[in-house]
Amino acid sequence: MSVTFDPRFDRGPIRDRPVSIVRLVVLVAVVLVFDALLFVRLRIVGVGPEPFVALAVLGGLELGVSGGAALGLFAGLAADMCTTTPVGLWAFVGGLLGFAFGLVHERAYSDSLRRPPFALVAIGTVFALLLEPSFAFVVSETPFPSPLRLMTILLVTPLWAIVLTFPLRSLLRFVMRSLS
Amino acid sequence: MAVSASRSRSVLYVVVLSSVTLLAFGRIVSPVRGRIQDRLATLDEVGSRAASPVNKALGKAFSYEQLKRENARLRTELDAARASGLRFDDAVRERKELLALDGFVDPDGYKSIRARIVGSALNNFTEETLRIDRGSNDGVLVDLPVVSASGLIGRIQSVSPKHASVELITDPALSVGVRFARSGEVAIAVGQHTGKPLRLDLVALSAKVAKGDVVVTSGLQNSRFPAGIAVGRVRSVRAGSILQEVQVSPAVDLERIGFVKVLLIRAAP
Repeated sequence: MSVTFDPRFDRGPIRDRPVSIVRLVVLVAVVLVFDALLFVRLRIVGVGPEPFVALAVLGGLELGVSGGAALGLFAGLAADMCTTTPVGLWAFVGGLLGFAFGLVHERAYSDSLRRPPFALVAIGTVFALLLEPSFAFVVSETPFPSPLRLMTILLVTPLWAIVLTFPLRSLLRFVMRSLS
Repeated sequence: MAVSASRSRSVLYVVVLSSVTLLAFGRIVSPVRGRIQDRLATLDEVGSRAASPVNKALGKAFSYEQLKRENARLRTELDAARASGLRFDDAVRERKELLALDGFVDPDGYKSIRARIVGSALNNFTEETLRIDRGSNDGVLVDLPVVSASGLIGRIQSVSPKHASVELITDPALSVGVRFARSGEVAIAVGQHTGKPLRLDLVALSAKVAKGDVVVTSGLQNSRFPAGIAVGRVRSVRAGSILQEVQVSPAVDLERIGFVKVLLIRAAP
């Protein structure tokens, strides 16, 4: 099972290289380990980074629609493993994000991938953080966070996303290129 | 590279179908999730140990004045506690007698296990949770009450073999049946998020409630919590048009707890 990969500005001719599920799993597993070791300890006014959301957005921007959706699903599933909300909520949000930003990549953004897409990752993070509690409320009647908390999360998490964009993109490209 | 509309649609269907399948059969994945969370908690502890010298150094550098102030505050509280301790033994005896009269079990009489807090929120949206280092291997079950020496902390929300997640009483999703210790009137305490007092629902206008009244768990039929566990003190009372609006400060400082007790009021089936 594979999906199409199109990071056209990486070194070497890797356009259209198939992305195996194994690579995606390895990538998500590495981020999961970093999350448990480091990211859970990083807090600004009580708000930490959401690396799996950033990974889903970057997946869409780097891998296109199919690869982005697949990576988004896996990243979301990893996020599901870290919470107590119903399994599949974050996977859904991640899959949608990967898909949507894959469309952005393939229709509008593919010629400017040299620079890390800080703004797009930040915007994607905000969307994800609005979608997830809404779905959680619909699916399991999980109450929304307080308005103040939600505002804090929506303001701070994009900053974390910007910080994580460069290392996550580098990791994504490294894993996609290195494992064969 | 233009992407065809039909391919996009197919990908979107796959995403939606996969997610719905996961949501529908999520319970099957739960044991796997528990085991993964155990492994992640172990990694978390490794990270904590690695980061502790840095944290200690930063703490020493920045919190000296704060520690001095806290020390002074704690000394004052200790004096007050010594004074009230004299009255405590008598109150405990009285409470046991009353609980026995009402057919309730003294919460101190339950078997319990001590647990250490090993982590707080799992992500940004689960602010009202804690993780403890005891799990199903130790007899911890979902819904068991979690307390400290000062009072009720919450309930077990999810369990993995070596760890468990505790839903705090400040979570709006958790309601606790309570009783005013002075008047005996019952109500429902509902969380209003971290740092905010609990809201008491269903307090009739005729109920005798005053600021400072102690609120304990009611332990009424089908309650998750046994009777008599301290929940908090009334912080404010306001008469509404039909009911009274009562706010309660939690008995436990939920941001400063290191150890908790899980009351084993039910045994594993």
